This record gives sequence, C-alpha cells and structure tokens, in this order.
Amino acid sequence: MTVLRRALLVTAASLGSLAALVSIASPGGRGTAESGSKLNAREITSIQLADWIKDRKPGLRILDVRSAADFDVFHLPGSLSAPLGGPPSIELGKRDVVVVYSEEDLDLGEALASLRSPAVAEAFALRRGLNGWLDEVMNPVLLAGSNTEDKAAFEKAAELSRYFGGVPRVLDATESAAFTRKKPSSSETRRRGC
Amino acid sequence: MGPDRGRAYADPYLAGVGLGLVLLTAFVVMGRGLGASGAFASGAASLVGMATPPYAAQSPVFVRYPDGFFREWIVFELAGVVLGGFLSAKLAGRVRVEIERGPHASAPRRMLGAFAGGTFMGVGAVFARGCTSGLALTGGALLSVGAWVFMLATFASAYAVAPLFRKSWR
Amino acid sequence: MIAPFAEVQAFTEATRQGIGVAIGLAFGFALERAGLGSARKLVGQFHLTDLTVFKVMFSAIVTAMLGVFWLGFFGVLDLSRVYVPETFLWPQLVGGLVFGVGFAAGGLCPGTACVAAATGRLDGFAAVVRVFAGVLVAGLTLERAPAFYDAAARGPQTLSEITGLPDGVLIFIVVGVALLGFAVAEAVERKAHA
Repeated sequence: MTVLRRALLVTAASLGSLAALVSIASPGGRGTAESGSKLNAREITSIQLADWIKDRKPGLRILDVRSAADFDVFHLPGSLSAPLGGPPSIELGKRDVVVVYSEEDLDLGEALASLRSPAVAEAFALRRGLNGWLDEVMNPVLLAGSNTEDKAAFEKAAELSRYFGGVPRVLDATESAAFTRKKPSSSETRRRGC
Repeated sequence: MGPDRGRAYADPYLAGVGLGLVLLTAFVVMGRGLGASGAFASGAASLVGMATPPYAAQSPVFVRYPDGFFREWIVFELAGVVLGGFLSAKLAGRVRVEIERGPHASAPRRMLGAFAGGTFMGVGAVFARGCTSGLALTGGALLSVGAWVFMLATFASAYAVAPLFRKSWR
Repeated sequence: MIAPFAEVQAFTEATRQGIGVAIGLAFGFALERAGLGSARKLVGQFHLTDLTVFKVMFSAIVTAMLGVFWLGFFGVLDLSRVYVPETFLWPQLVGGLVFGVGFAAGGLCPGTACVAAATGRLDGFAAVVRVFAGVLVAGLTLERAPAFYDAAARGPQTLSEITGLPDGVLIFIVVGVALLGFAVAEAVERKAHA
C-alpha cells in the first residue's frame, strides 16, 4: 500500500469513527449543533414559518392539506387550501418554497405526491402543524425558572406572536406548575417512517 | 490492464476523493449534488413541450422540468462535464476517435451494446428519477433511502446480465 | 450557517450557470482522470477484472458524506437546505434493475457516456443519443402510468429515519463497509491478474 492510500484510509477511518462518537454523545444527528432539539431534514418550526411570513420571504407558498371546510374555519395567514387527494388546483413554480401543514405532523412525501407539482425549490412540512402554530406562535408561554436561552427564545416568539395577534404570557411559579401543555417529544415530532 | 492509450489513469482512490470533494463543493455552494440524466430529461421535456405543449404539461416526468432546457442548472453542469472530460483527456493525450471494444470484438456488436444499453439506462433513469451521478452518488452521500435502493438494484442487475455482453470485450 | 451559498444569498441566474459549468468541469475532469470515460474499464467491474468503478464511487461517497456531516456538525452547512433526492421506493427499485441492464450492456452510465463521447469514443456518443431516446420514450409512456411512477413516495427520507440510528453511526458503518470493500476489491484484482 502506498503512503497516499494509507493516509486516505487513516483519515476516512478516523473521521468516520469520530462521527459515530459525536452523534452518540450528542443525539440530535445531522446539523443540529445550533438548535438543541431534533428537527427532521425537511421540517420547519412554527416560529421559523412565522418569521418567513413576516419577512415576506420570496416564493413562499403555504399549503393547507386539510379539508376545505376545516380551512374555512381557520387557516394560517397567507395559506391556500390544497386538500389531500383533491384535484390539483395550485400551480407551483420552480422558485417556490413550499410549506405544507395539517392539524399535526404530516407525511411530506405523501403530501407532495398528492400535489402532483413540478419540482419546487424547497418543500417543508410544518412541525406539529396547526397545533404547533397555536402553541408556539399564538400562545407562547415563558415558564417560571426558565434559563436565559429559553427567555431569549420567548422574547423572539413573543414579538412574532404580537405581530400575528397572539397572546404571549409570562407565567409565575403557581401558573407554571399548573401549565400542562403537551411538550412534543422527539419521537412524536419525528416524521412517520413507513 | 493498463490504459490502451495516453498516460496512465490516476489512482482510483485519489480520483474518488477528488470526485467526492467536487460533490461536496456542489452541496456547499449550490445546496444540491451532481447529475447527468436530469439534463437529458430536461432536453426531452423541452422537445415534447415544443412539439405538443399540453402533452408535456400532463406527463408526470416532464412536468418536473418546466423552465426549459437553457434555464436548468443541470444542463450547464453537464456541459461542464463534457468540457472537463475533454480537457482531462486532452492533457493526458487520451483523445482519439474510436469505437472502444475488445481486441476480437466487432464494431457493430459493441455499437449494438451501446445502443441497447443507452436505451435501458434512459428508461431506468426516468423511473428512478436519477442515474448513477444524480441519485446513487449524490443521494448515497446524503444517506437517502431511495439512492441506496437504486444503487443496490443497479449493481445486482448489472452483475446478473454482464456475462451476456462479455463478447464485446474479448 | 453560511452554506449552501446559493440558498443563503440569492445568486443571479448567470452566476448559477457559471458555477454549474465550473462544477461540471471538475466533475468531468475527475471522471476522466479515474478512467471512467472508458467503457472497457467500467465493464471490468462486472467481469471482476478491474474494480475501479467501485473504488472511485465509494471513495467519492465516503469523502462527500464525511464532508457534509462535519460541515453540518460545525454549523457551516445548513443540512436542511441541501436537496436530498426523494425516495420513491418501487419505481427506484425497478428503475435500478432496468438501469443496471443498460449499465452492463452499454458499459457506461449517462454521465460517463458524456465523458466517453467528449474524448472521441463513438460508442459513448451512441449511448448518449440512446439515453436521450430512452428518457423521451419513458417520459411519454409513463404519462399513462402515473400511479406507479409515484408509488411508495416517501419524500427526502434518509437511512437514519428508517433505522433509527443517528447519522454518525450510519456514516461509521458506510465507511467501514467501504474500507472493507476496498480490501476485497484489491484481493479480487490481484487474483484476476495472477
């Protein structure tokens, strides 16, 4: 074996082993060095989406895959109704950044196949769907005893919340103890595999 | 078996690492990988679009390339591939017009293989939405499920049928 | 996160095209250097006389995979914005089987056929023309079987989502399999030429 091949082998073996070590040490997998919780490759959070809507992100198209009746009752600002299994009614362009949402998490692959649309620039599923939006954007809360990181996240969410007419709340100790919003566990937010 | 013409080819592992760095550059700069069959599909889509526009708009395959041939990124990338391949061969003295085949094989046999092979590859790439570059290599590096399924299926069937075409290389 | 550049900062169409040509040029150069513009060399893979295809392909996959993981880990590359080829299980399985027949018969794949044609090989040129014909025919025919074309759509699904293993561990496994495969490949070649 030449010196070159040996060097490549050692490099690959060590980088590969280290990759296994760091992802076992800090579960969260790919590219989550910044954000603490696991986010699937093609999911976005409600806060991120709110940011995009507020900033009028170019090419943003928000699609509601619930029934048209549900859409009429309530939908995200700027979203269009595109019921799953319905006739494809929305034309998407190559530059569009598509966000699809339902009541809760949804299967992005299934939703995109149902849209029968050309390849768009990017497509994302909204994490925890409408429920996520209601919890995180419309009704953000700061529990008593939160750390500075949580406080900073809350400040950002609160600002967005007020923009969309939501009600951010800072809870005191007793209120915090009584507060039982379902915290999404990582297994629940994971997109359904098969 | 050394090359039949020009300078010897590069060390395969070194060339592979080079190829991997090119792929990584594509991810970092463009946010997407490499490809080849996409350019063919875009060309076909444009052709059909010119001939019968409604047909192209209905096809689940062609509708994925609505921008036209000269607006698809992959077309420019493949043009680069042609240039890069030529440049490398030119520098190494490996450019020669020929029909590459085994010393005892006839030219028509080899051309028949290339014709048939090309057709199968075109059809397969449409079904799979990619080829060895766009799906197996790019998706393989991103640990895409479909890419690994495609890669394993490709190698399995290639090994199964390769003996049938061995005569072109004897 | 500063990358992907094209996503983080909007490139003009001309810039994107220029980058496309440059990246393609490097791609074609690397393929030709490795000898993959030669059908004789490629079919060696299937006759077990010359395993260059496997060595090049897996060195490339390992390199890019490790690069993506570590750039993501250090927060340079935003992996949620890298396009992951979508999974459509059945069409990709069948497509792979059909493609493999063509790969063995033609001794080239669409990308390497372009390189072969560029270096003066008429068999490469023939393959290029016929790949185009195949794409055209399949594209026109598939219009009548859209259900199969979209069968088992799973979106940009990754191995980590179906195995539940972190990316780092899967990368470790792929690197291990590749290095083992290289050792086997060297042994097979030695035996073939003995």
